Amino acid sequence: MHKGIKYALIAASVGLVGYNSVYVKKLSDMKASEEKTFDAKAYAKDFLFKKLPSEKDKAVDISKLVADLKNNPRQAFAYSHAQNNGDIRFFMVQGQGEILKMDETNAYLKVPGISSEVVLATEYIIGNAARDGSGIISVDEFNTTMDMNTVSEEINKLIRAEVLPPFEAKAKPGNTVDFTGCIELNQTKPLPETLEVIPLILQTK
Amino acid sequence: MKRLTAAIILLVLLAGCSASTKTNQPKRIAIVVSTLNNPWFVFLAETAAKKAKELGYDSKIFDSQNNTALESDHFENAIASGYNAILFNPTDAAGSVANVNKAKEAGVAVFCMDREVNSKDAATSQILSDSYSACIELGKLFVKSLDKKGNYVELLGIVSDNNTWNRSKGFHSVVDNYPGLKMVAQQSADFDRNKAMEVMESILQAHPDIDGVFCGNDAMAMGAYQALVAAGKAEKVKVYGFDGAEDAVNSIKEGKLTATAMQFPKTIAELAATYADEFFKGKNDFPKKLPIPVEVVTTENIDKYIAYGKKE
Repeated sequence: MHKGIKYALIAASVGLVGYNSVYVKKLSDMKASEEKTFDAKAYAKDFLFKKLPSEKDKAVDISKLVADLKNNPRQAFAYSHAQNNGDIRFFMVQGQGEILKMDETNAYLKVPGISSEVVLATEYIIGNAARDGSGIISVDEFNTTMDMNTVSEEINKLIRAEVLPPFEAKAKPGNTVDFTGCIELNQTKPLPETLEVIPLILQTK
Repeated sequence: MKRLTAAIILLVLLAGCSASTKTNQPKRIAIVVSTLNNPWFVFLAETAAKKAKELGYDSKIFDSQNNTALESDHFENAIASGYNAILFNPTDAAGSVANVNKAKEAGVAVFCMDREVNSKDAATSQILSDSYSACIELGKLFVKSLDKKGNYVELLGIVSDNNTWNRSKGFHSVVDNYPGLKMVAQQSADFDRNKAMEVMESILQAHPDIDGVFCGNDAMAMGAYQALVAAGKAEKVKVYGFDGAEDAVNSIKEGKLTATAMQFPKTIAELAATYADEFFKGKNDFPKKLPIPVEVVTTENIDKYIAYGKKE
C-alpha cells in the first residue's frame, strides 16, 4: 500500500515536471511570430510617404550647399548626417532644375547657380543616402542593425517602384523639375564634378 | 536556542562582511570573445585587456571557441567570480542575448564589441563596425573591377552572426542591380581560412569559370586565394575580403587580394574598456548601438594602412 502511494507520487512528480518542461508549438507559428517582430517595408513606407514629406523643409538648398562646399566645407558638412562618424556623409537637398537630357540611368539637370553637373539617379538607387540624408532615422530605434539596413533596401525599392515611374512617364528634356533628394559626399573629396541626387520627392512642370 | 541565535548572528555578520568586501574590491573586467583562433579577435581581446590595464583594472580573456554553450559557461563563471563588467564579442546574435540578460540581472554591465546581439536593451552599449555601409562601397568597387559582368562566388561567415548578413546584404544591395554579374555559388565557410580553402576547391570543380570571389572576412579570402593559386586561377580572379587583417593587408600590397574593408578593432576595444570605466564611475547614458566606420582598402590607398588600422 505504502509502495503504491510512493510510486504514484513519483509518477505524478515526473509527469508534472515533464509537462512543465516541454512546450509544443507549430514551426509555422514560430516563424510567423519571428517575422512579425519588424516590418521593414511598412517602416520604409511610413518614412518615405509620411515622415519625410513633413520634414522636407529641413532639406538644404542645393546651390547653398555647393557654395558652402566651395567656401567652407566644414560648415557645409554641418548639414550632413550618417549613422557612423566616417568620411562618407549624406545630405537632404532641395532645388529646381531644367532637364537637359535623360538616359537609362539618370536625368541630367541644369540647376541655376551651380557649375557642377547635377543628375537625378533613375536606375541605380543604391546605398544609404535615402535612409540617412534627412537624419530622421537613428540606429537606436532598431533591435538589430540588420533591421535598420533592411529599411535602407526597402526605401530604395520604394523609390524605384513608386517615386520614379510617374516622373519617368512625364518628364522630358526642357521640363523643369522640383526635387527633394539625398546626396552622398566624401569629406576627403567634398565637391565632386557630378552631384548625384537620389530622388525622394519629384514634381515635374 | 542560544546556539541557534549565535549561529544566526554569525551568518548575518559574515554576509555583511562579504557584501562590504565586494563593494570595496577593485573592479574587474571579463573579456569574452567568440574565438581566439582568428588573429583579428586576438588583437581585439588583447587591445581591450591592455586598455583595461591602463585604466587600472584587472581583466581576464575568455575564449568561447565559437561555441555558445562554452560562452554561457564563461558568463556564469564571470558573474560568480565577481567580475563587474564584461567586454563581449558574441558567438551568436540571437543565442547570446540570454547570456547578456543573465549578466544584466546580476548587475554586471556588458559592452558588445564588433558583433551585435539582437536586442537594444540587454547590453549597456554595443560598439559595432558598420559592415553594411562598408560592403556597399566594396560592392561598388567589385562592380567596377569586374566591368559589370562575370561569374562570382560568395563565401559567407557564420550564419548566426549578424555581421555575416550585414556584409552580404550590403554587397548584394549594389551588385544585384547589375544583371551581367552572376553569383554561381554562395556557401558558408564559417569565417575560417582552412574551411574556405576546402569550400573554394570544391566550388572550383563545379564552376571553373569565375571572375570574382567576395568573402565575408579576410581569413576566408586568404583561404579562397590559396585554392585559386592551387587551381592556377589566382591571376584572373579578383578576391575581396573584409577585416584588415595582417596577411590580407600584406596580400593587397603584393597585388594578390584585390581589396578588403578595414575595421578598427583598436577603436572598438579601447572604447568598450573606456565605457566600462565610465560606467564604474557612475555614467549610465551610453549609445545603445554605436556604428564604427569601416574603410575600403585597395592597392591605390594601401600605403595609408597597417594591419588592423591606419598608419599613425
